[in-house]
Order: sequence, then C-alpha cells, then structure tokens
Amino acid sequence: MTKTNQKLNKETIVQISFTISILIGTVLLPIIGYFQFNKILSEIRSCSQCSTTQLDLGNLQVRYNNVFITLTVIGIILTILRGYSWKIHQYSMKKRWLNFVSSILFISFLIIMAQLGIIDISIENFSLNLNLMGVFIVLIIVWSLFIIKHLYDLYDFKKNRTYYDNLLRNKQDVILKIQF
Amino acid sequence: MTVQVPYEISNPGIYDLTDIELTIEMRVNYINHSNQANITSWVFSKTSPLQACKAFSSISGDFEGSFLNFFIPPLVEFFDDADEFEMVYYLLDIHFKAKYFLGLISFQYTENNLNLFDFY
Repeated sequence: MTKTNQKLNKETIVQISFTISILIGTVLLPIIGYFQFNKILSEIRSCSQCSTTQLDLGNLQVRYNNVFITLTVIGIILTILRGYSWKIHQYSMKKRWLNFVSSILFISFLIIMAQLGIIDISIENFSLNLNLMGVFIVLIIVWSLFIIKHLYDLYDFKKNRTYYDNLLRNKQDVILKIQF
Repeated sequence: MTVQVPYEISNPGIYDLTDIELTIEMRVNYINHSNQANITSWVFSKTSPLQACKAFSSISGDFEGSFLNFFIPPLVEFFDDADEFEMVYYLLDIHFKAKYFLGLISFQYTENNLNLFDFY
C-alpha cells in the first residue's frame, strides 16, 4: 500500500469517527435524553407512595417537546453537512462555507439546548431548581471563537486564493506522479 | 432559646460542592374556621454558609440558631390573637443551595411545610 493510500485511509477513519461523534452528540443524545426524561416524568406521575402527586415543571413543561424535536432536526442537518463536507476538497471555498454554516448551526443548537438550562421541578412540598446556564454560556463562548476562526478562514481563503490553488495543484501533481 | 439541627452532606461527584448555604425557617400557622383565614407568623429564620464539600467526601455538623434569629414580637402577637381552640401547626422550611462543576451549575433544593408537631 502506498503512502498516499495509507494517509487517505487514516483521514477516512478520522472523518468517519468525527461524523459518528457528531451523530451521537447531536442526534442520539437528544433522543435518548428525551425518552429518559419522559420515563422519569411518568415514574414521578405514577408514584404510588405520594398521596396527591402534583408535578410542576414550570416553563419547561410547555417547551421541552418542541426543543427536543428542534435539536434532533438541527442534529440531523449538522451530521449531513459534516458528511457532505468530508467529500469536498480541503482547499475549496465550499468547504470553508460549510464549516462556517456548521458552526453557526451548532451554536444555534447550543442556544436552543440552553432553553432547558433552567429546570424547576415541584412535587408537593418539595421543589428543585437546577441552573445549568453557566455550562451553556461557557460552551457558547467557546463555539463563538470557532465561528470567528471559520470567518477568518473564509477571509484568508479569499485573500490568498492563489496560494491555496498552487498548494492544491502541487498536491495533485504528487498524486499523479505516484500513480504513473 | 436556641435551635440546633444536625446535618450531613455527602458529595459522590467528581467536583467540589461550593457556596453551600443552608436556610431554616419556622412558621406558626392556624386556620381560623370561622372565616377560613389562614393565619401565619414567622418564628425563626437563619441562613448559614457551610464549608465546601470536596469531591468523594462528606461534611457534617450542627446548624445552630440563637435567640437573635427568633422573631419574638410577631410570635407574641400571634399567640395573643390566636384562637385557643384551633390547632396550631409548627411548619419548617428547609432551603439548601449549592454550586457544582467550578460554580457553573447551581441548584436549590427546598422542602416546605414540614410539620414539626401538632400543638393544641
């Protein structure tokens, strides 16, 4: 097996594992979370030891269905984009636009997920208030840096197009030399 | 006149529990059956910060309240006005507040209206 083929195989494995991790993080985890959350709610509601079980989820009650559906849809789009961008060449404008759009989609994924960041659960005399907004704010700040990075990549590619074209041409020459 | 409540907090998580605050409040309450009024008066309230609970460890101690944490005038007024034939309830509210995961996750647990004992 040639060096280029080995490198391609390595890249393929990395890309496939990256796409799978996006699929798990943005599609499977929200779906599993949704069904687990529903299961916990039904367990609380069917509590036999409680005399009058009154479960109050506050604002979460109204929106958690919609939030989970939106998250899954965004997750599927993200995974498709990731799979598509894998096929596009590294030194292309399309790839950079896809990276930029993906990071914007991911930040919107985080912002929508942050709607579930404040959880209020009240059962009879007991109430629990959980605030996860700090975690979401940190994630959103970190991902904003990625958006800035992708924006810079777009600008850089536009400005130094000749350099990247040469780079691509040289790389293609090498592949051709090896093939012949 | 003092209040002493023993507590034990265990943290099985991998991060420290910080900014722990324990609040204990006590109220006296009775329902005036003649006019169906719910009459309540505060007896005691104290918020006490506790030491941080390290990961995989537990802390214990006594929550202590002194004479200064009691609201004497409203309590006296309550019993002056209370109907001696109505049942008086001593109700306890416990609020537990803490932060987790480098202070990024905060939570508050509240248990309201715990009936201490019935007083005739």
